[in-house]
This record gives sequence, C-alpha cells and structure tokens, in this order.
Amino acid sequence: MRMTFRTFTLISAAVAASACGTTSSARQDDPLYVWNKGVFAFNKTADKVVVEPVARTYHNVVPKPGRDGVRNALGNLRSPVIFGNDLLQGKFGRAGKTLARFGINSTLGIGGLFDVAKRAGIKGHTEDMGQTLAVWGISSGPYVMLPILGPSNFRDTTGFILDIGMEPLTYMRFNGRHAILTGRFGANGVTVREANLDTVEALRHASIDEYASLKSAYEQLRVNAISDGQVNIDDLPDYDEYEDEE
Amino acid sequence: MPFIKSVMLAVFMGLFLTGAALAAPQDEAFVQNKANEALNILRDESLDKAAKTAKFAEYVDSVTDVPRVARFVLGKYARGADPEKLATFTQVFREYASGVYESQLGNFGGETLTVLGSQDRKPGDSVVASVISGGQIEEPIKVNWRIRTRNGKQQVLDVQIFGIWLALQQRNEITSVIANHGGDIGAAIDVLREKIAKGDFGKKDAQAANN
Repeated sequence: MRMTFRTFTLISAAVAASACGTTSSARQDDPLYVWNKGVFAFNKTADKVVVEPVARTYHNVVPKPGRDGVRNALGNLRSPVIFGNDLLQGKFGRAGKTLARFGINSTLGIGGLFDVAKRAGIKGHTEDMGQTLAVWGISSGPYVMLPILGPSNFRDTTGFILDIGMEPLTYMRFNGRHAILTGRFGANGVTVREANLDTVEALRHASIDEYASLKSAYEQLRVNAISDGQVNIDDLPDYDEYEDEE
Repeated sequence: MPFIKSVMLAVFMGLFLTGAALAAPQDEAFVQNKANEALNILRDESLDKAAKTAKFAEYVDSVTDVPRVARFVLGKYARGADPEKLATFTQVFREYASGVYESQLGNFGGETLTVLGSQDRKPGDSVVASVISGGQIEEPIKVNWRIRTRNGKQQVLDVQIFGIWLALQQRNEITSVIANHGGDIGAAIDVLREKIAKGDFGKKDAQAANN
C-alpha cells in the first residue's frame, strides 16, 4: 500500500504542476482540462490495449456464477470501509445492514463468495470517504482524471486515500501482503471493467464528445451516490436559464 | 402596512403552494400513460423499423418540448444565437434526441413501469419517480421524469435513468463540442448529423455488438 500512496503523491504533484501550466487553456468548469485530456487519452489507450482485453477474456473464460462469486467476495472485503463511512455519515441503519451483511456473507456465504444476505432481504450499498466528505459539506473541487484509476475530483481523490487508512488490511503484517494487496487492486479493476463492458461501449457509441460524456456521467453518478439515489430537486437546473430576455 | 402585506403574501403563497402540491398527481398519471404509450410503440411488431422510428419521433415531439430542451442543451450558447442556426440545431437535435430515447427505451421488452410518487420543484415543474421492473431485468431500474406544465399542457423536459439525466448529459457534451470550436453552434450540428447518419445512439446497438 506504500506504493499506492507514493503513486498518489506523484499524481498530486503532477496535477499541481499541470494546474500551474494550464491556466491559459483552462475552462471554467474544468481548470485542469489540458492535464485531464492528456490522461484521458492515455487511459483510453491503456484500456484498449490492456484492461478491456483482460476484462473481455475474463468474461469469456469464467462462467457467470464464478464472476459473481469473485465480485461478491471483493465487495465483502470492502465492508469495513463502507461500515466506517456509514457511521461517519450518521447513517446508523445502513451501518447496521453493512455489519449484518458482512457477518452473514463472511460465514454462511463462505468468505463472501455468495451474497446470502441479499437473498435474506438485506441489500448491499456502497459508501466511500469521498461521499462522506460531501455529506460533511466539502465541495468537490476541480475534476481530475487520474492515470489508470480514471475520473475523480479533489474531494474523491482525498477520500480514496483516506479510505486506504480505513482498510484493516493496511495495518496487517504478513508474508505476501504486497502481492495480495496488488492482486486485489487488479482484481477489483478487472471485475469493475468486466461488469461495465456494455456500459462503456454504450457510452462510447452514444456520446457526442467522449471526454465530456465521461466527465458529465461521473459527476452525475457521484451526485446520485452522495444522495443515496434520491433526487434533490433544488440541485436541478432551471430550463429558463438561457432563454433570451423578452 | 408591512404586517398586512406579510399576511397577504403568506395567504397568496399558501394558495400558490397548495396549487403546486395538487399538480404532482396529475403529472404522475401523465408519466404512467405516456410511458406505457412509448413502450407500446416500441413493442408493436406490426411496424417495421422505419415505421417504428417515424412513429416514435412523432411521439417524442408530442410529449417533449423539443425547442426548449434544444435551447437548454445549448446552454450559454443559446443566448443571442443566430435564429437560423438555432432553428437548424433544433431540427437536428429533435431527430437525435428521438433516436437516443428510442434506443434507451428500446432495450425494454416485457417490463412494466410503475409510478412511485412525485415532488414539486416549483409550480409547473415537478419530478415524477418510477421504476421499470419485470421482464428480463434482475433489479428494478429507477427512472425519474422532469415534467413541466404550461397552460395546462404537460411535457417531459428530461429523463433520469441509471442516475443520469439525459438532457443534462447532452448539454455537457454539446457545449463541450461548441467550446472546442470557438463557440460555433454549427460544429454541434455537424456532430449530431454524423451521429444520425450512422444511427449511433448507444445502448441497443452496443448490446447487440457485445452479444
């Protein structure tokens, strides 16, 4: 995990350097536009050459029950972080559900391979420190495209680092720990990409401007996640905003 | 006098808000009817692809305030735009939006839409919540509808599916294209025409490609 943190330090420095050098080309809603576009192009190539082929091979080789099991197990491992963020947001009912799911799925679900809790009516949800910071009233800050990790913003990037601190595995010491953490990071990436093969393809086909499309989708999905899927009508735009004055 | 004014204002606002609160159930019924209508067109096997697209475009035109949504997606570039270019954009956007909605809703076959409730944003502006369930989908999908009522006529301004408001998404993309071309609306018109020519509207085609 030290490597991950170091990578982030480098990214932050690069982003800061980029921010200094791009003010002339910056956009109002995207001050890191030049850096972001560059990383977007890099990520797109990395996806085309490595990530998508691996995800597609995984999809074709491993049958659906196997993929579901891996996704369930990885999701179960994330429970402590979700639980911590549930508590930090004051959502005690949801925290109780996360705890119950973790207990049930880790035991009856054989280490989280089977989502027994869902069948018992306890559905899962996600939370992260980026969402917690938003609930605490911290604004998102500039949008930033991170190498390999993809779209984010300053708040979510900070949250991502803080979530590492909330992971029990961060503090455990045992042989092969780095290999396990790296393997888990890779498996998470492949699993998420595999689950979104159709969605990413659809986004590419439907988009008018692929970069803007990803940025907009990310920002909208984060707003949706922060509000737990509830529409906040006050946040919706006015349709008369750009009418010509009569 | 200020006190009387305040009381009058409170009474007026009370009437206003009561009126607004009564609007939502009508909007819920509107969404239920119009969504069923859309699904019926898309399921109609007696129509070939061209006829279905034409009928769906007609339907979109009747339920959506296309000129208003077109101005919305142009964002700040709509203000003071050349009327001729604006008219061309609206016409092209109408065809594009119809293709997108047909493509998105076309993925649903035996599913049904159920209205869950609604919220009034302000008088004549509400959000109706619904879910699509049944058929081939495992988990119900939340769909929210932004409804605007003017002169007793209800129209759809935006639809949120999978957490994404489609018109808002289109605005962010279209204004980006225009910004990349020095504020020229013509660039957005060209891109949309290209998408229409290719029939490139997203999900349905992508899923077909993946299967």
